[in-house]
Amino acid sequence: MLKTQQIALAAAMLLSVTGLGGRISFAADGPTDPQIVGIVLAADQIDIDYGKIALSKSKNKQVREFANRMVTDHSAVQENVIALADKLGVKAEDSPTSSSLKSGAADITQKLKELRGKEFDKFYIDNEVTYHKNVTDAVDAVLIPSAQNGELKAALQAAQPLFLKHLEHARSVQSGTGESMSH
Amino acid sequence: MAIRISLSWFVVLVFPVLLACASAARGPQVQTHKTYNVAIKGFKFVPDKLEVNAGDTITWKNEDIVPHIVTGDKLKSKSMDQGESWTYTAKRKGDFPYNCRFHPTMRGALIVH
Repeated sequence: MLKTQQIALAAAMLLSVTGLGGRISFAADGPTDPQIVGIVLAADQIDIDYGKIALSKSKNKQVREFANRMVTDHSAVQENVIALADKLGVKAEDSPTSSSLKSGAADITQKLKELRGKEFDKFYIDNEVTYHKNVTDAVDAVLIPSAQNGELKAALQAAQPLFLKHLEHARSVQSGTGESMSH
Repeated sequence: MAIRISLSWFVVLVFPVLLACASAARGPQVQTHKTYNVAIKGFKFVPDKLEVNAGDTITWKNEDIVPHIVTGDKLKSKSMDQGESWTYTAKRKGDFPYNCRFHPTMRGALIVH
């Protein structure tokens, strides 16, 4: 029954978590624990890289603060995930999901490098909103239900508020896009 | 009769003096201040609203894996990594809303009576 639910959720995710912020698609049978670690590390690294680009290009105070926070927080998550994987003896594995995340990120990165000024800020924040929405959906609907190891599942559950706060933060910066975004 | 007189004198004169001396030895009454803890966990201040009296001490402790900070008009902590804490003694009465500047949607309030 549980497996059936997971397949249904994974199938739903295949449809629902695609978009501007990077495609997140899953195999029908759900990711294994090593694949989950690989997906989380890839997702974290992608957002760290986006943040570094924003810090190098944006002059907007809100955008820079947000980007700085993404680099700091996702770096902390990376360290914790790596430490937990070491402790559990789980070696991160690539999967179709992590590969699709990376290929989606390559397109976004290219676009981020091309844009300037307000256009850059808007694209970066819009992407962050979509990306974090996709990640929180994926963590809830696929990664947590698929995790077999109890500690890994607990770590994903503990990390979920972080992604939700980032999503709220991104939305608050997004809502300030325009008048309050001065250069 | 002599015993009754002595006892009466004791009650009327000596006992109040002894009582006064004992009170003086205790000194002026010292108001005791309380200490409170606010956990920062799951990207929330727990409790998010705290009422204290002036002179009370509050300690915020970060239990999350990422840094947090307490930021308000009157409250400005250092950046706290996981496991670190910051202690503040409430001196002024009033309402002091605060948030985590790193994660601005994390909000709390300190009310000092």
